[in-house]
Amino acid sequence: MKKKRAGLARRAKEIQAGVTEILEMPPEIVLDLPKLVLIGNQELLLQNHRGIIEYNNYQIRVSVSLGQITIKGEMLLLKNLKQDEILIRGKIFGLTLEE
Amino acid sequence: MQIKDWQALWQGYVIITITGKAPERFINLAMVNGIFLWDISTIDQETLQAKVAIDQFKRLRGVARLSGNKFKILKKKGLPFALRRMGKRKGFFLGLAFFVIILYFFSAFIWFVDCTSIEKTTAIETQAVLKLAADLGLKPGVLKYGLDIKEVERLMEIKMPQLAWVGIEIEGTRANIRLVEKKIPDKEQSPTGPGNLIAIKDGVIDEILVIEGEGLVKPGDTVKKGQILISGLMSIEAETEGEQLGEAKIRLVKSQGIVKARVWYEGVGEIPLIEAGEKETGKKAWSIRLVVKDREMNIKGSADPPFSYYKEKITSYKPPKWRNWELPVEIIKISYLQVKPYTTEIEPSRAQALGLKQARESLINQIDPSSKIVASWETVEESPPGTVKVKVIVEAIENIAGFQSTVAD
Repeated sequence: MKKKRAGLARRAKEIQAGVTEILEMPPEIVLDLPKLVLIGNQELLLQNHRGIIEYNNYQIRVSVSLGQITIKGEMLLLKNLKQDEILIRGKIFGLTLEE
Repeated sequence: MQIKDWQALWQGYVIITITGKAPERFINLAMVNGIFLWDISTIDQETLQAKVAIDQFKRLRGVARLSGNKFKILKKKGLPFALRRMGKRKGFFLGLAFFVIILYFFSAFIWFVDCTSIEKTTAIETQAVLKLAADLGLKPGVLKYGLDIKEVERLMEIKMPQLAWVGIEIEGTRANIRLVEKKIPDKEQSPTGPGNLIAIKDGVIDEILVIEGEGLVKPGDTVKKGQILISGLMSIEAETEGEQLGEAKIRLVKSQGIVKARVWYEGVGEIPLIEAGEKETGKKAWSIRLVVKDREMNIKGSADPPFSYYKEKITSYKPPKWRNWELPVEIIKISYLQVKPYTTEIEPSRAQALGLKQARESLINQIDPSSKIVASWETVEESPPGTVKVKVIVEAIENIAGFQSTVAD
């Protein structure tokens, strides 16, 4: 029974993704996915986040719907901090996505 | 600086430091509560620095309590704080404001009135002009805005008839009255006293008509310039023959009459047989230069004229003037037009025709239109070698009598 429900949930997600693709709707809105805009290695705009887990000069961990995004770099600065978007400045060298 | 930063300065913000075990919690909580933090940086493991607008600052207390962190104000920035600081030095800023107001207030008055005449004249006294202006309301200490300059100008022109034009300019607190004076023509001196009629030109008398006075010449006489033609000295005996010689009396009259004489004019035209000049070849070059004060810089085109014989044409483009001030910058375009020197020989017959034309033109300027032309001769010679000289002599009959007063001025 439980297994069947999990399967149904997965199926619902698939349908949702299919519909999104057909209608050409922005997936980050419909599917609640994070959107990252990286400008060179100096600026990162992160939309649709769910809060900061860790912040210091060389590493920022941000919670998102998929899991966690880790940004590694030097002299990292949180330029803007809003409920749905974060703007990070500094020298960025690493970007990892963990589920 | 971005617009957003200006906005922040206008509204005022504080720089805070957040200390605690997990400052991230503080940030997250602030975010969730809709408090906007920006320019967050780490100072060390347990300390963060951030900026927050003053109207959201108070709500940070709850955030700090919930997250178990502490925060401190590091700096206060922006206009509201600056104004508060100003409030503490009231005297100074009041004085400053007072000074500005006073300056503005006094600049609304006219403190100096000057008068300049555009053409230097002495006939109109500056004092009189200034007094008239003062009577019409333009005087030191008067308010600028209450003054109708056009009206003052108009009234001044009416009240001082010797002024042709009055222009008033107000520059700051100085009013400058500029004048143009009417030129009253000298009264024509129509001779009233006795005098002679004299010859104003050399000539041979053709006809003499005496209205008043005593004619001293007769037709056929050759007269020199300045010679008396009709004398104002009349002996009465000449009038009344019946009287005895001994009682001859002299009467002074203003002589009048017409003395027509033949006079000669000469017009000369000289045409060189070889004509030299320059002709454009049609080749062109140009250069665009930037001129700053006295320095010139070539921007585009050829810096030096590429031709050995050329004419140049300069067009200049200046930035528009602002009041009396203008930028000392100018862009000029120099067009070089190549020219070729040339010489052409003119046929003698054509040179003669040209010379004749030239001679006639010079005659037209000399002869008074009222005189009657009786005869003319032309002579052609090649006097300085290489040129044709045409001489035209015209004989005309005209009145050569001119009045000369015998009364010493």
